[in-house]
Order: sequence, then C-alpha cells, then structure tokens
Amino acid sequence: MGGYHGRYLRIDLNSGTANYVALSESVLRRFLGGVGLGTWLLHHESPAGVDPLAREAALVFCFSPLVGTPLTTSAKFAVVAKSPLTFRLNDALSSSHFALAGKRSGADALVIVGACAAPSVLVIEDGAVRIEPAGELWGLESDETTRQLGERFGPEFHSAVIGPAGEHLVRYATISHANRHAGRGGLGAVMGSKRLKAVLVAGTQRVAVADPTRVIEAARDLSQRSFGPATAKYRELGTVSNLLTFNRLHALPTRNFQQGQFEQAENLSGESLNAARRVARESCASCTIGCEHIYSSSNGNVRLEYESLFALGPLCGIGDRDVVLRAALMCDRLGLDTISAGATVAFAMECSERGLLKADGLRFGDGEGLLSLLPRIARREDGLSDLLAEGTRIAAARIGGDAPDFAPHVKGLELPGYEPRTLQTMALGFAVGSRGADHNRSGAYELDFSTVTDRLHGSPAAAALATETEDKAALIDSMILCKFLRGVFTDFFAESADLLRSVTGWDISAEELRTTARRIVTAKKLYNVREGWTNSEDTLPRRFLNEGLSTGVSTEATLTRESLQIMIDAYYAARGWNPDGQVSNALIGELQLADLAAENPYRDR
Amino acid sequence: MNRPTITIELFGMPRARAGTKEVVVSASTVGEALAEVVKVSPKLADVFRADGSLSPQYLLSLDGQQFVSDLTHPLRSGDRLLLLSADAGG
Ligand code: SF4
Repeated sequence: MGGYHGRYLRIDLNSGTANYVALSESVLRRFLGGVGLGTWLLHHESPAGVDPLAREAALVFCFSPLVGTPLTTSAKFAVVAKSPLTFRLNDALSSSHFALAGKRSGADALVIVGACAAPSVLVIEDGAVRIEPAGELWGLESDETTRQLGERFGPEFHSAVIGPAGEHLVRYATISHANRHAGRGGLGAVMGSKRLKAVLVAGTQRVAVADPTRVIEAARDLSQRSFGPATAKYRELGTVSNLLTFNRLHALPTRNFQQGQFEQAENLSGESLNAARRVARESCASCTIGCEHIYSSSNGNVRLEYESLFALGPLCGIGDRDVVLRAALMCDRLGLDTISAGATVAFAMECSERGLLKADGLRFGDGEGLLSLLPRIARREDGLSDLLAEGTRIAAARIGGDAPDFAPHVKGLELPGYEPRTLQTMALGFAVGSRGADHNRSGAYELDFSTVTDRLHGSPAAAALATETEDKAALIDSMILCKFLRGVFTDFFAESADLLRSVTGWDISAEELRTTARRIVTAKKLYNVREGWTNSEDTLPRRFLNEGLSTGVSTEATLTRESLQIMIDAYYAARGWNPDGQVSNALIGELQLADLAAENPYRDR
Repeated sequence: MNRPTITIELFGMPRARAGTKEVVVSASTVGEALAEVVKVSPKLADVFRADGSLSPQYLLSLDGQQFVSDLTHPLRSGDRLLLLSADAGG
C-alpha cells in the first residue's frame, strides 16, 4: 500500500508519552485521510459525551495519502476535534509545509490527548516526541509565536500555533500555520485547553507511492490544467471578487443578515481592493494556483478572503477598507476565526441598537468599536468581551429576550457570507451541515448559482442534488486536494480514483469513491448522534424563516419553516437516512460503519 | 426592425478582462448580446465554446432573477444581463 505509513502517533500530554498505533488497510481504504480518517479517529479516541475543553478530549491532526506527492495543492492537513462552539464534530483544513513535515515525521495522523501542566510546545521529530516549556511564548500573537519558534527550532521544523484567543479558550479560536488557519469551530480553544502553544513537526520519513511514473504524469497533467480558465478567478482576483456579485444578487449578508445588499459594497469590492491595496500574491507549498492575495493596511500586510471581507465589512455595516483590512489582520494575529468574530460583533451591534445589550453605544458601522472589541474578545478582558468570546449562540441565550431569534448560527457555528433567503439550496446546506452553518462541507451554493435550481425558491429536487456537493467535498477533503482545483475535473470521482490508484496501488473505482464519500458524511453524522444530535438542530435561526428581505428580487424570496422542512426531508431521503434524520442499522451495514456505530443510540423502529 | 437595447453588467473575471462595469448593446437574444460584448471586449471571446455554446467558466443571469444558459433566450428592451465568473462561491 503506497501513500501511507499505516499508523498514527498517539501522544498523551498527561504523561508526556507517545506510541504508534497501527491503522489497518481496511480503515485507510474506507476513510482515506484528512477529514475522513480524522472522523474515524475522533470516534475512537474521544470519549462519548466529553467536554471539548476537557483534558480527555482528543485533538487530531490528520494527513492524507496525497501529501508529499507532486500533485498540485496536495500539501494539506485536517484538524478534527469535538467543537467547543457546536459540541459536535468539527473538521477544519489548513495547508502548506506543516502537512509535508508532519507526514514526514512518520505517521498518517497525530492524536493528542491529555493536557500539559503548564504552557508548552509539543515537538515531534521523526516520531520522537518531547514536550518543552513555553511560558515565554504564552500571550504572544500567532505570527510572533511562529517567528520565535523559527529562531528556536530552525527551518526544518514547521509549527501549528495558537494565538491569545486559543489560550483564553475563545470558542472560535483558530490554529494557524504560516498564517493559514484551521479556522472554524474553535479548534484553537481545544489546543489552548491542553496548554499547547504550538505543535512542531519535522522528519525524513518519506512514503513511497505505488506507481511513481503514473503519479508524475498525473501531477504534470493536473498542474497544466490548474493554469487554465477554471482557476483564473482564484489566481487573478481571489475570492474577494465575490463581494460585488453577491451584492448584485442580493445575497451579501449585511448588518447581521438584516439586508442582502450593502450600499458601500463598491468601496469594499475585490476590484477596488485589487486596484488600491494589493501588494502580492502567494501560494501554499506544492500549489500551482496561488490564490492568496495580499493587501496593505495601515498596520501591515494581510491575506484577505471573501469570508473575512464580508464578515468584518458589510455584516458589521462597515465600508471603510482600512478598518476591514486591519480587523482581518488582528483576527489572524489573535487567532480568531474571522467569520465567527465578525458575526459575533455584528450580532452585538444589533443587540446594542435594540437596547438588549450594554455595549458602550456599539452600532453598525462602528469601525473603532470593532477594532476595540477584537483584542478584548481574544483575551476575554471584560464582561462584554468575555460574553462575546462564547459565540452568538451562548451569548444570545445569556442576553435573552428575542436575541436568539437573530443570533446568526446553526448548531452554534456562525453563518458564512451566503444569504440563505436568496440562496435557498445553501440554506438547506447550512441547516443540515454536520459542523453547523458551513460553506466548505456543502457546496450547495453551486446549485443556487446555476440553471438547475431556482435560488429564490428552494425545492426538494435541489435538496437532493445538494448531497452530491457534500459528497464531493467529503472526498476532496479526505484525499486531500484544494477545493479551488475542483473546476478542472471533468469527472471528479473517476479522476480521483485514478489518482488514488496510482498513489496507493488499490484497485479503486469511481463507484467505490462515491460510497466512500457517503460513508464519510454519514460517519460524521453518527459522531454527532453519539454526542446528542437530534433533528431539532437541523434548522435556521428564526430571522431567516420569519423575516423577508426588502430589496429587488429578494422580496420574492420567502423561506419558511415549512419550505425548509420540505428540503430537509428530501435531503434525508437522498442520504438514505430515516425521516427523523437518524441512520438506520441497514445503512450502517451498507456503508461498513458498524465499528463506529456501537454506541449509536438509535435503534430501528 | 430595431433590436432591443440591453445592458450587460460584468462581474469578476469578465469585468477584469473587459476593463469596464457594463456594456450597452442592441440584441434580440442572449447569444447576440454576448457576441456584441465580444466585439467591444475581444478578451471575452472565450465566453463561447467552439460549438457556439456558453463556456463553463461563465454564468449568465437575467436581471439577477434567473440564470440562463440557452443563448437563443429572447431579450426585451431594458433587460439587464449579468455576466459572472462561474465559480461564484468560495
Ligand atoms: S489554491 Fe490557494 S488555498 Fe488552494 S492550495 Fe493553492 S494557494 Fe493554497
């Protein structure tokens, strides 16, 4: 079997010990790597019902069979844990040299359990593990931490670090590597709860592939295609160019989802940013696309994506470019998820305007208020910032009144920059997502931006089609390749099978990979079921089901509890789940998930 | 007979290629409108595939209301056609 070490490294921070645990070929073939294998590992290594911030909780760094090959965009890793924001499974991806060095350290995954007695760094070098004190790093921002670790350990080590937000257990803290974040769901808080400031990896243990000639051919072909029109937007403009398109389509969440258009959108547009502020373009290791566009702010240069731009700009009613860029830079350095941070501040702005929250007169458009709040949230400096560090779900419950109706989250995870009322297949994707409101594990918006569905009126047919986008995401996130490459494939499952065949040597087919993808999606669901999921969680905040939008075509776009439920029912049916969203024993058998379902509380009725 | 006056709004890659936000053309169908845009902005020639259909890297929306791919779709005076990058999401 090529592409794998066939083992994971289990590190117990309580005792400071580590041991390899074998991964059978059956497990690897069923779950591949990345989020798939990470899900399997979390099932096995995280006790049922565990508090995500307890020392027993597991934090999984998972590599993949493609890491280390010359295939473009394959230098990626997944981080998987039970989320302190959603209390459900959370998987986030990040890129670059940490993935390459991590796999060369000798394992297909790192599973970290326990907690250090004092702030520490975990150092893994060719499978040898040591824990070193890191008191002098505690309190430092992510970029400075990375810089000091580079000086202390040298260039062969690559680090995943937390900023102050992770140390202070902010429920949407990130883990960053070279300023790229495993951003969503508070994985930085899980690492902070273990008093781990950083994980460093280095090694020399390369893994052979089954058919090196074919892998090189495939890599050459994929690189060639990555220069083509399917990725031009990412190379030339970056995702910030979404802003004006979404604004025109009344799909740009504005002022905490009260509107779908922002009157200052032109000022924040990717086009104007690129003209006035772009200073460089960068890429992850092993990538021929290079989608990372770097912009200048008055506090330094910052990488900016659409999601950060929408959340720190229109969602907060802020149209000042420099404020948005500075806020994004702050989030990066503090280790805050930009989407949840922006959404939480936007929510606080609305609560303050409605008199539900005393917040120093915080209002939409208050750029200084945003810039003042972010560092306070990251360090939980006062009562207000401590409340907002909990995310919108918990904050809304504490604020009371009708605040929960407009707290913009699903399962605790704040919504990304897609207005659900004018992108109704995406609304379904948000409602049923295993990690909450999420645009990376469901590409349902692709259907909204197509002739196949009516984005203003969701339908059962669209909901059924949305499963395909989830399946593709599950596979691409488990192999792992970058999603920005997805447009270059003409037959994604067949071409993925070809790549995996040449790397692993398995006689794997497109059909098998379709089943693998379905298995991974359902494995995540089983984890959530184990942790208490019921179908009452698969919904949207009342705002989206009770309030319409007031401009242009968006006035036609009504989403109701009933119309959402019709889509959810169709989605469950397309997944082969029962009408209440539970997973039947028959499906568990069909998808070979029995080893993950031992504690499945559901029994066929 | 005069052909209807159509405004084509450009977003993302189409705007970057054309170097303009919108183009006003006379056209009776979506395909005619695109052909007029290509005359004004030859860098958008790849909007058509070799067989004359819409290239997969582009999306067309009729006034933000409805996505269209049928290039024979008729247009009326005052219609606004949005030309977008196909990968409109993240
Ligand atoms: S396309 Fe962008 S995010 Fe994807 S691997 Fe390349 S640089 Fe990284």
